[in-house]
Amino acid sequence: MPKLEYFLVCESVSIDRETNRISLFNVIEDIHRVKPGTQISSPLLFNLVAVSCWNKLEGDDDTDFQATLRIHHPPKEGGEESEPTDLPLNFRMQSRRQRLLMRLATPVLPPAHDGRLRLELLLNGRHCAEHEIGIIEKSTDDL
Amino acid sequence: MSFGQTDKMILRQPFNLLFSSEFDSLGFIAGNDESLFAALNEHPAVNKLREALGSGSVSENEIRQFAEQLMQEFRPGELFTHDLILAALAIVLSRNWNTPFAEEFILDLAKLKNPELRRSIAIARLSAKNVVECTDTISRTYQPVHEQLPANEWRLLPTPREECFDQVEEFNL
Repeated sequence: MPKLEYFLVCESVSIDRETNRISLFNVIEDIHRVKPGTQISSPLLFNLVAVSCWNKLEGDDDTDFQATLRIHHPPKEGGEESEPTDLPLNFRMQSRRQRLLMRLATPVLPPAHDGRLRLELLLNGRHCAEHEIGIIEKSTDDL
Repeated sequence: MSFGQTDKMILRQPFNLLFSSEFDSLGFIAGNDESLFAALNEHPAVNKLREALGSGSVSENEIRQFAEQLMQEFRPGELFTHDLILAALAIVLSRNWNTPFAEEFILDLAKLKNPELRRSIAIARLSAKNVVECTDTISRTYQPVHEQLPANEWRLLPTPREECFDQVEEFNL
């Protein structure tokens, strides 16, 4: 089973073609939502990239693995728990180190109070790491 | 065997191991660039230097100075006497790929076209290729099937959408 080297959620990623080095931009700690009812001219897309890097261990060759990004939404209005969203990605360890970039392009978040959005990383159904993002209400004047 | 001005260098371990006749003969034993790379990569002298760099008993700065000393004997139009040692340094430095000097040394050497440095250039190219290919990247984009909220009520911080060249999957929020 590959060993997790790191897991982070950021806004965008760049990989240098010559050196294959990865750069992560804007590691996401907080996101903002506007007050319900605020007039906004058009919705904007919001990108999240969940980046994980795995090191190959003995016996990992020719084995299928499944990484899952599990999104734990904040509770709904009234405090009801939301169902988590699972985003699976099947892979094989094709080299000594394997990076997985799981990109989410989403125009809006599901209903939420101020709270936390928890992104959990699982490998073959087992918890490996998580990244929490704060959701903060903000008026459009601040945007 | 003569090593020119390098004879006058005071070489400490493990640099001096790169000046043995046995090490120098690798250039004759090995056939193509890949087999030379493999032979150099497993050579005890290269292993010693690699270990010394890893443990910190040899610094990158010492390797830089060593390479500069070697290059003093470079003569345009003549096969470089220390071409094989330069190749060994490229292999050793590839373990330190994340440092600016190691990357600069290997990539700059790999970009050269001098026939005098044919073997070291070839080994630097293989070193760079090996380092670059040791990490593979899989990318997947997930797009929501539908929006659950009116767009005029919720919005996240404005960010431009980046281009996605990878496989796209839809999911339910």
